[in-house]
Amino acid sequence: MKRPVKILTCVMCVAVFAASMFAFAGCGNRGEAVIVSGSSSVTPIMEKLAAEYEKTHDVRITINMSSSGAGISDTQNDLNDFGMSSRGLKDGETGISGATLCMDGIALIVNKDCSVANVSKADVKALYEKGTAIAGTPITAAIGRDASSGTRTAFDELLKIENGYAADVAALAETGNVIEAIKGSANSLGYISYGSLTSAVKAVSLDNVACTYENIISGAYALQRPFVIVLKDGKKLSAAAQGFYDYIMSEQAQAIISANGYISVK
Amino acid sequence: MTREQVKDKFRRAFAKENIARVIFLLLAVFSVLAVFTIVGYLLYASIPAFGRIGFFRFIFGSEWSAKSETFGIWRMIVGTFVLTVCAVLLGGTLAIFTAVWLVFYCPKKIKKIYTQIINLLAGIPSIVYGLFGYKFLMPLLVDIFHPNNAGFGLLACTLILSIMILPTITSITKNSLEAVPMQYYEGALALGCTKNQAVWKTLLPAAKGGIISAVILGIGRAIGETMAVQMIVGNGSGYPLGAFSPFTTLTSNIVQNWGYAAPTEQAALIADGFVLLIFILILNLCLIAVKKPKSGNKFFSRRLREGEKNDALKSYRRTGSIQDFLWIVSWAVALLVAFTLAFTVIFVFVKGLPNLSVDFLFGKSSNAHNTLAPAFVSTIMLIALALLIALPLGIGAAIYLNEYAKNGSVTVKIIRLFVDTLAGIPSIVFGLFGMVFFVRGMNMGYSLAAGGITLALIILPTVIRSTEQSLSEVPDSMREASYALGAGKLRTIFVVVLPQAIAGIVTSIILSVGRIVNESAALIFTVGSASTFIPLGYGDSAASLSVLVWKFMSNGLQVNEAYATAAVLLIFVIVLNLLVSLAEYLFNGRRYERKKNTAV
Repeated sequence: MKRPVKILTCVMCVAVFAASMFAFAGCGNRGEAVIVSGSSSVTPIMEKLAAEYEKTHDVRITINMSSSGAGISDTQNDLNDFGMSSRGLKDGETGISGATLCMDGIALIVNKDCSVANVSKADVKALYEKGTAIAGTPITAAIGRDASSGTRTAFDELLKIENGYAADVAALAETGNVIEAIKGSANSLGYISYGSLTSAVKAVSLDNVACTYENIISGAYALQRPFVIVLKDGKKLSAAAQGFYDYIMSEQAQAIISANGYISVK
Repeated sequence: MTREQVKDKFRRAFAKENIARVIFLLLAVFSVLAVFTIVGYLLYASIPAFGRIGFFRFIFGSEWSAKSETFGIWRMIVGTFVLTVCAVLLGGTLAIFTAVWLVFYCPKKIKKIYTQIINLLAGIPSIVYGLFGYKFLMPLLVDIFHPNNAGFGLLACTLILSIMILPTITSITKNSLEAVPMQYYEGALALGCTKNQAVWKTLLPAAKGGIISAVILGIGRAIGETMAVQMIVGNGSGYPLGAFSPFTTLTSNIVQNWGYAAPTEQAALIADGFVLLIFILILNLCLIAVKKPKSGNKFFSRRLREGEKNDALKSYRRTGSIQDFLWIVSWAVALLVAFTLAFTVIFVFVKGLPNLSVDFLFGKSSNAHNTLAPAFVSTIMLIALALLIALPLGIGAAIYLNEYAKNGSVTVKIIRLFVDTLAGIPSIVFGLFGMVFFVRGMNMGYSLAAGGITLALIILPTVIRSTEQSLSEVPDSMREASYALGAGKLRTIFVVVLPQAIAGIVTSIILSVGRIVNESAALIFTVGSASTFIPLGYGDSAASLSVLVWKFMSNGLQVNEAYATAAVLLIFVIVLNLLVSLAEYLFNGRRYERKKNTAV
């Protein structure tokens, strides 16, 4: 094969490749698309709801996992159909409104091999605020979440931590990172969504109230916050988005929510 | 043919040539434009922050709090500085030993394989290093040192970052050691030095300039590293005082806090990125200041490389000198590096391969069952778009630089400077730029289109450099022959020169694909992380394979899937590395300096 022919072949290949890409982009059954974005704590249950909804409806529900802050700002900037937040909306967050999907506990977690079973609110507050080790336990370090996390905002509000964390508190980006860090460290305390709790880590009691489903429902367990669906004021949802929204707020969906360890509000 | 007709024909031919010249110039100037746009736009977007917070309070303030709207990056600057110094001290030392070993002590048989190892080490995606650090290194450090936290902090970060910058420094040091004239070595031997003495006291100092450049590039890489660092650094609000105190770097600060979109903080984060960019630009200026190593007379000095005279490098005498000790150290370091690579790869494979199944790879993906199929499609779509944009731009620019511009002219120097600058900009800055410029500014939304264009900017320097290199290796006699046969410049370029340079172009394509497959930070900011559906067009948000590793890792319930995806990524990287070797083998006869690491 002559050289120019070779080049030509290469160019042709690229062209055909690109053309097929664009053709691919053009056609195809789009179904109807719904874009949801926001909190990594809400994402697991939203994925389950979406999976269930897709069984009966021809829609593509795209879930962009990031953080509550991103979910809220995406909604404000009209980058999604609706956002997910794992905390209540603040006063400064304008142009949007929230609808509570369900309630969720915040579990305090330690390593499975850690002997600690109970901590007090004051101890936890001191640990995060000042880095004070919890007396009488092996817990010396705290693992928190990043500033845009709804879990962190709710946690800080519930424990009245107002001036940020102590210098040596790690602030991790996602729920999973907290779980993985706790799995590898016998002397750290962390917090995650109750619904994301797995058997890989151990949840400890707070002021002698165990972190269980019953105690969260009854309100005895202090650390809980709402999962909020964020809607842009004055924007009309597309038919597909409205359908999915109606579904997640329906009793049928709330049953799935309860079955996964979250507290239905309906 | 009348006189007029002939004139007319010539005029048209010249017009065509001139138009082509202008087009190629424009393509070449694009890199300059891109750098200016990035710097300018980021500056423009961070002015509100500087204005509102005050420049000095922003740089020297140490509190970062969204609640009280005080943003100061001093402790991030200190964090980045300390981490970079530690990583470059460790990684740089290891890299120089490795390079010396590779050039002077490596048995000839395994030299090619070992070079592959270094290339592979360079090719492993940042996110995979992060996974390795998080899941293996941190628990290991906890077991050894029993710190009072989960192992976050300076020590773990330094170790991972050293491995990541090692290939960059090694390959450039290797190149400059190989460029040292043979006479230096022979002269040292003639004066009675042993081989070890000659290597450490004569040849290594002779390559000083190249080694300094290598270290500067390594510093740039360390400063800009994002995904792996932000997983391991811990993002505490303190200073890196001990081996295990979590701190924050300039890059990890951006990734961590970007989500919260209060306009002032966002502007502050862009300003953070801008400061990062300024550091990189300063480093680039330092590179210019570094003297290029003198390579002696071009025609009469033999290079160590040319002879491959490992056999000639005999030790005449053994002494118990310090250089002999260094010789042992270099063997140890070389083995350590090979072992680290082997261990990383094996760790990911052992954890990941058992979780792979045909269904997980290619099955139908849904919200209930997230498979890799959408990630494959979106990765391919990103590659296609980025190449479609970067190849014409890059090849055009290379043609201008090599065929049209006068060698050594000011234009060429300026354009080269900007291409190198573009190559040095960290991907997180590209991500930030893509986010504010394409996603928001041009209203593209999180989309494959925005990501593809951002990636095109990232790979452009690789394409330009690699193509330019192979164009310059086409002998002038071929061009002259073509002109003599009456061909115009344009025809000569497309029919004679470019076909000769096809190898460089193919290599640059493979290297670019590798870069795209590795990329995660820039993509999270521009394409989002939707991973459940095969994207139907370039307007869709999607997750490439690397981003998917991050996503699986992040939600905490799919660590096995994260390993499996990382294993697939590694297989990709290994295949790409083999392809580069294959390309070099197939287009044998023209040898290429692989500029991979200088471009990354």
